[in-house]
Amino acid sequence: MAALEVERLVVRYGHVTAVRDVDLRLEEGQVGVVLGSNGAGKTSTLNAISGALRPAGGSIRLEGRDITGWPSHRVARAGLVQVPEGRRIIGPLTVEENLKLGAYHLRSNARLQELLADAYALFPILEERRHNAGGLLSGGEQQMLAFGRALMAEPKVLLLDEPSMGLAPIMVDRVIEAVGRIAERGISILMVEQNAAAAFELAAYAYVLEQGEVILEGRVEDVKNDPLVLRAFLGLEEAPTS
Amino acid sequence: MNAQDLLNVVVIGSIYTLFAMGLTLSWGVLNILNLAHGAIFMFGGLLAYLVTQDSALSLWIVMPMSMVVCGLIAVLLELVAYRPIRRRVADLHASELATLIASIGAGAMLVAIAENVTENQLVGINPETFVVEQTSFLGLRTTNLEIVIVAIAALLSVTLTLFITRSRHGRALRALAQDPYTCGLLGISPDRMAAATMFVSGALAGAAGVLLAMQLNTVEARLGEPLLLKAFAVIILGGVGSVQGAIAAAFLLALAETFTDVYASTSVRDAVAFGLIIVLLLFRPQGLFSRVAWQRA
Amino acid sequence: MLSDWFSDNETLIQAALAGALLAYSFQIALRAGVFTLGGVGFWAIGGYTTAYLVTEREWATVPAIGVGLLLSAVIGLGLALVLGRLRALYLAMATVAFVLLVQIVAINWEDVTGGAGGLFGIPVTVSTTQVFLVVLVVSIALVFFERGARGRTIEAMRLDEQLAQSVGIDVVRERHLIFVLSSVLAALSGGISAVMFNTLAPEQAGFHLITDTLMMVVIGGAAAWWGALVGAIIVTWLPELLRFAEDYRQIIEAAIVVLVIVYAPEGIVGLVRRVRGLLSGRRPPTATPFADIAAATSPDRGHSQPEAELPPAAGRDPRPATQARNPD
Repeated sequence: MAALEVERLVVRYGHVTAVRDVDLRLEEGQVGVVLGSNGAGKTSTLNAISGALRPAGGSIRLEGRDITGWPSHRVARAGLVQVPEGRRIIGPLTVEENLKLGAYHLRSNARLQELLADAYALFPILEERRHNAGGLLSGGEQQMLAFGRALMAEPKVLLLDEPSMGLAPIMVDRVIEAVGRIAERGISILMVEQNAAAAFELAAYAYVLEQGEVILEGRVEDVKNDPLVLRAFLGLEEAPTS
Repeated sequence: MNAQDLLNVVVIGSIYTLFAMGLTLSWGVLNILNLAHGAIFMFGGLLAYLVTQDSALSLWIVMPMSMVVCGLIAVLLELVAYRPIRRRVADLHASELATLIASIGAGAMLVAIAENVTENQLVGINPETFVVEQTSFLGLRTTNLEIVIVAIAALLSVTLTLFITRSRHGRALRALAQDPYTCGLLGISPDRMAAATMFVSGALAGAAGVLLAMQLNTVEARLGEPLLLKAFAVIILGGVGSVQGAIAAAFLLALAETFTDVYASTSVRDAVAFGLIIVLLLFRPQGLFSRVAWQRA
Repeated sequence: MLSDWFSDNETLIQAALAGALLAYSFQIALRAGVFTLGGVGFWAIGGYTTAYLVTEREWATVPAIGVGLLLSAVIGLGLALVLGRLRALYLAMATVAFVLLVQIVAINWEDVTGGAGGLFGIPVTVSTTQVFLVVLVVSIALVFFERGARGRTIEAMRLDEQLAQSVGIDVVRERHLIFVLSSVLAALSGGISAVMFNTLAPEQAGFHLITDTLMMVVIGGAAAWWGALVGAIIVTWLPELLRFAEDYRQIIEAAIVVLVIVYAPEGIVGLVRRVRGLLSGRRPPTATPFADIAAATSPDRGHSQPEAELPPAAGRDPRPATQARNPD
């Protein structure tokens, strides 16, 4: 059974169709990447899967369970958590409060402390900054916080929307490395990423979206040699010889 | 001003606190400036009058009951009016204004219902609900009711402050005020939180209504109106959405009013709050105690 | 026959005419995105000025009203300079505070205003026909205003102030102008009311006049000038129409306001446009201060995402200021 199956997903804003008949499949423990230019419908797709937008058509199954049309908070409780574009840390709350926000569903304090210790172990910088306001962290730190916060919700599937966006190159590497550490825990990840080269280091499967449709998909080792991907996302004219 | 006046400030400030806390909560968290708050407050007193009409009940039964019913009234408004507006109107300002007008209408409805029930008469809660006795506190003249008012205001404001700063629901509320979208992604239901916020807000108004109706010994349909604009002044002074700010501001306003009362005249006392609103919005729209600049533009 | 109906209903007609002028005052501000409720204060200023000059100084009616208008224009400009930069709820509540301050002055300045009891026996110096003509002239002026360049200017300001600014509209100046216009219209309503109904008391110029006038604008609809006029007529006649409901009349009136603002925020203007749109097969361009374009022109929105809880596309995203300044 796949962790996430999306079939013929359609998203409309008024009369504008942003996503048309998109099929996606994410195997258990797999990392998938969605590539595409601005306005290709990547964020709309993620928002529709996580329930932040109501799809106009299609079906979404999480571990075999139909979650189509569920509001986002129910989807999150069911085990699919989206880390939104721009990180969206709650600025006035402290780092620790932001983390605890992810564990809103928990009534047990013991489990909360466990998860918190776990998040701090994964991202030590957050423990250092635990009493700082979330809004005062650097972009890279905020991204770690957004990851940590999502993990506090004990997800089975994570959706990451452009985690490296707006970060300095050195931070991009750290963020990608962090995604790798999350994936090692067996959490299935579907990420939208501009930085294709970095994403390909982690991902097993890739989709290319254009104007709301999947125009190319396949295993990363095949996709990364596709002329279209080389040109549009890797900035190369031909396949590297090495 | 003497110590007796200061005691008065504490009592009035306590009423303002109870009234303003609920209003600042719904405004800060949900962007709902609920002008029906005054009418819900009045309903608290009215309910206390109605249930004690035939037989006396203890204040300790009447007040919780009024709090629950007033909380439910506020939830009802959220469900039939405010939530549909939020769903339909995308622009934040347009939605705030539509909500404001809806709340004016809802308040007018509650006032009209109260006028029917009381047949436009002044009525009073059965005095046996709480037998008021003169007493003294640190050598000052007061009543046991005034002590109860101050104690309940203190208890509820401490409880609410702890709830907001410490509990998981309070954390979610503060986050919701900033970013409902992200809250949804983290498993927090914005709709459920909104209903809960309105319940707490209404319940606080209900408690204040019962207490003020006891203190004044009257209930009338327009009991809440004068308090509404004062509460607005309190909220602006304290910073929108800040419960601690509202508490501090409530006592400051009570102090300023009593000061005017003593040194100028009673007729200008009401002008203090209204003048304060204009002056504050001009110079410190984020409130006296807030470091965050809340929306001006 | 018509004249019988006219004389039977003269007071209501007069009230509707005065109400329409005040509703215009509210509407013109709302349509420009300036949510001032200060009109009621200017209604009082215009009313008391006119009443004082006509009664105590034995002035003729027209110059007396004129002075009221002038005074309101000046105070209106002052208020605009002071409060002009406030937005939405803050402006609304600050102007309510202004109204209540005016009311307190009216209660305390007994020499001019007659104190809390108000003024009685103001000479009635205008006929209903004259007032009707005034309303007609104002309505025609508003049609030209709405159709003209300035109508588009204020529409642009309401929809997107920053965009309006970027296409060269002096938003600050326009807001001040709207403030002054709104104040003058309200003062006109107040001045005429004073010499039409022969009494004026502070309690008339309080919160409930704000409520009544908002009711007119909301029920009528703010998307076209005639919404205020129709709204004024309906709200004035509502007590008559609801006479059957007896004690429940006021409850029903208030319920209508809630229902309209929640479920039909374009009011009667929107209703008429929708019917006209159905007849002609076009989608009507409805937009009011309470229902933005997106919500009004895309019927799909309601179906495609009614249960999406506060989706990001809905623009309800008050991002904390701190997020804007990340070091990397």
